Amino acid sequence: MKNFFLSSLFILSIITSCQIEDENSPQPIDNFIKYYGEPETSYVLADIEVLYNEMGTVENFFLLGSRIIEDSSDLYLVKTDANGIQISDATFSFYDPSFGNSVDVAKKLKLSGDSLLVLGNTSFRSSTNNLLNGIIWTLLDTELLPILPFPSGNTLDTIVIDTTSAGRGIRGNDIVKTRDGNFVVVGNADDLSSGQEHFRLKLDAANPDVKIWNRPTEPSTVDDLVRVFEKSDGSLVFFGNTTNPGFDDGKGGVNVIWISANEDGGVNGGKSHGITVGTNRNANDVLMDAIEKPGGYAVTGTSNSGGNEFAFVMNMSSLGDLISGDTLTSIFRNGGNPLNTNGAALTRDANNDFIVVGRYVDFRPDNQEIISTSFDRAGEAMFIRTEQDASPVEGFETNYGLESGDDIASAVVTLEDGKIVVGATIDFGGGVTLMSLIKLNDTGRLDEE
Amino acid sequence: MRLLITCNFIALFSYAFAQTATCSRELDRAEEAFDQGRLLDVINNTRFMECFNDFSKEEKIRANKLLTKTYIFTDNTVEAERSLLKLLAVDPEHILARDDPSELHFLYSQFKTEPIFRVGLRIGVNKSIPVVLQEFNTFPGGQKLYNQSGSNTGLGTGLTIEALIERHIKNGIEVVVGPQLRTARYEVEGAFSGLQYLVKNQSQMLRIPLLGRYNWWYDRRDNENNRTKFIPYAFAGASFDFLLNAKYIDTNRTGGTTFTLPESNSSLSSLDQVVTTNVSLLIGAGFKYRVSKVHFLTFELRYDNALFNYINTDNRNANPVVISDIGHVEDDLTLNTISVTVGYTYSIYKPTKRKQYR
Repeated sequence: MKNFFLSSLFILSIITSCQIEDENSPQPIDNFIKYYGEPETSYVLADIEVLYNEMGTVENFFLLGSRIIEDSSDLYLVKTDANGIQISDATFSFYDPSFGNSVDVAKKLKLSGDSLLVLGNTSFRSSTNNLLNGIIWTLLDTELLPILPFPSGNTLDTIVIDTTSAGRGIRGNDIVKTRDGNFVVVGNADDLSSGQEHFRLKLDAANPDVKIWNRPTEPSTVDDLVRVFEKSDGSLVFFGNTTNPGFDDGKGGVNVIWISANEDGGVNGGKSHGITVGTNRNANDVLMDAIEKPGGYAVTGTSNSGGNEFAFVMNMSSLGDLISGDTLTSIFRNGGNPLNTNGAALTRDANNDFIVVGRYVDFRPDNQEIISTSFDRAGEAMFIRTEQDASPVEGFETNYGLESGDDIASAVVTLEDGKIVVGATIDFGGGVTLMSLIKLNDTGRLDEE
Repeated sequence: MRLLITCNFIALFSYAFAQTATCSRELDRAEEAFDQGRLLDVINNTRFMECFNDFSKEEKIRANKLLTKTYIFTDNTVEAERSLLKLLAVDPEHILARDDPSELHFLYSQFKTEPIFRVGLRIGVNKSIPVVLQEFNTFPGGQKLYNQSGSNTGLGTGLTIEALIERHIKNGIEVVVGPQLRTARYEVEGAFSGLQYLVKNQSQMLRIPLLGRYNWWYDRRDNENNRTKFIPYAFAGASFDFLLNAKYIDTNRTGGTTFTLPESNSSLSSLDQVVTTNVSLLIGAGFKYRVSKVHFLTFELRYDNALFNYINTDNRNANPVVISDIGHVEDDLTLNTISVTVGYTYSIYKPTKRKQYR
């Protein structure tokens, strides 16, 4: 008995090193919050993209942002695996010996086939000390290596700068690779006579310094173009802002404009739409993002009215007609009124609803019992799910971010499996801001499967 | 008045001293009578019989043993057994001398003289040894350290208190069971993007260990027929663990604007972020040191290995403040501990006649 007992003790001592793992438990890939950035450097996220493998599952996430050190700013890209684990990163900075260092700000990242299209803006002082603004862009492979050759002197592939007059510059908002392999860029330009006007132009992929067409002022009532889509027949659709209704049912103030154009950029139709905030038909509806969806488009932005700001959603047909649209009424209240919000980006989720992300301007809700963070916060990343008619889906509004600082979600993607990935800039205070990737379940939550 | 009190005190003391001395003499006379074969003089000595309340412990042992032998040799088995029980009440596990009569040895063998069980009370410290099964982070690079003895993190020490009931089975093998209250703590230091955080995860568990223990030299006696004072042992077993409470303490992030986790967001158990039940396997070794004939001081080293994940994986992300503001995500891990305890083991006896002799 003694020997048996001692033998049992010995065996148990070996078993004691065991742990039992539940193979069905959630994995790191399921939901997560990740931060990216290096010490003593600030980052502002601009956009995210997702690369799928042949099995239809996520292979990589790509994040584009601005990397800021003191007064200098560069474009910064991060490539991660499906877990959000960083694989590599790359920094791109415009430099020209005749101009010196620039401040480069990231704007848009698009996955086009197996290449990444990167758009940013740059500003610098000319030799006569004039402040010049231009767009910078590049085409990268998925290893973040440039595909197009560098023009001499630049660390970015190319730059388009309108230097026809001092102080006049252009700022890009979106870029698309068209069927013919060239690139259409849209944005806004300084208008010395009337403030700001839009631009749209097409660049030759073989020689990026050559503009295949450039239509900066037609129609003249359009102040900014924010998004561009190429349709299956090669024609183009633009979304932007206008202060002059000019088309259809636009209301007072700044309105959202839909423009249809042929493949040469020539306008053949346009419609503008405005949001009525309360009784104010003159709210300024500043567009931030637009997406294609079956049968049309959806856009988001911010309506400014009477000192208040509210994110809005418009649901449009493929011909630019407004199907529905409204401001989003947050469930979070301050002084009994919905919190002010900014819409920055949207996606269509697996339930055919819209997910709108952006920012609570000042997150200090009265009804704190409905949130998991129990103290006052400053700017906070916003996540709201809405029906197609812009009415919020109950129980699907939440906030992300830190107590300190001003956090904003600026990109959102619905994955093939219905999960949602949000790109955000998270402010840790003290000048430390990091890029963040937040992977949520299909209800927009971190903590539920 | 004062003089009167003093005189009374001296008188009482003198009486007690005289009584004790008288009883000692009566015990000597009774033993002398037994040795001379005058057995009835022992039993009929009323003064001797009246002295039992005044005997010292050693004298009670001698007197009860004397009576037991006397009753055996006068064929009064009932009284002999009664006297033996009185002897065992005074001296549990009394060891008979080799030259005691074989009839006494035979009678003694008919009784259960070992403790019915022992009760142990232990207190000590533990050090957590979290074993990470799968890592989760908010940062893609950087580092995450557990229980490092650095400038920020401590050693992850906690407190262990347990009360055990021990039962000897056979040949030095004991079965031990009893509740244990364990406070365990592990400390995690994370660093990313120039930010640092410190998280202290503290849990309180009610544990019910059930273990088998082997004692070396359990019945060993020295040359003077005394039980050995030093008894080493080893044990193994399992424990059912019930979570009472789990929370973060002293949790903060530095870098940027320093953030300290508020008390209102510190609970892990209220958000169901840690499992409420678990099973541990445990092994250990220690020794008992006999401080009286039958009770022990103990010193023990034990390793507890939890079999299942300490973290409730479904609710890992239930506290967004810890994830966002601190930057910490709990890894899948088993919360193991190594503990050192000291204690006291008290033996409880109820001598009864063995079944086969009833």
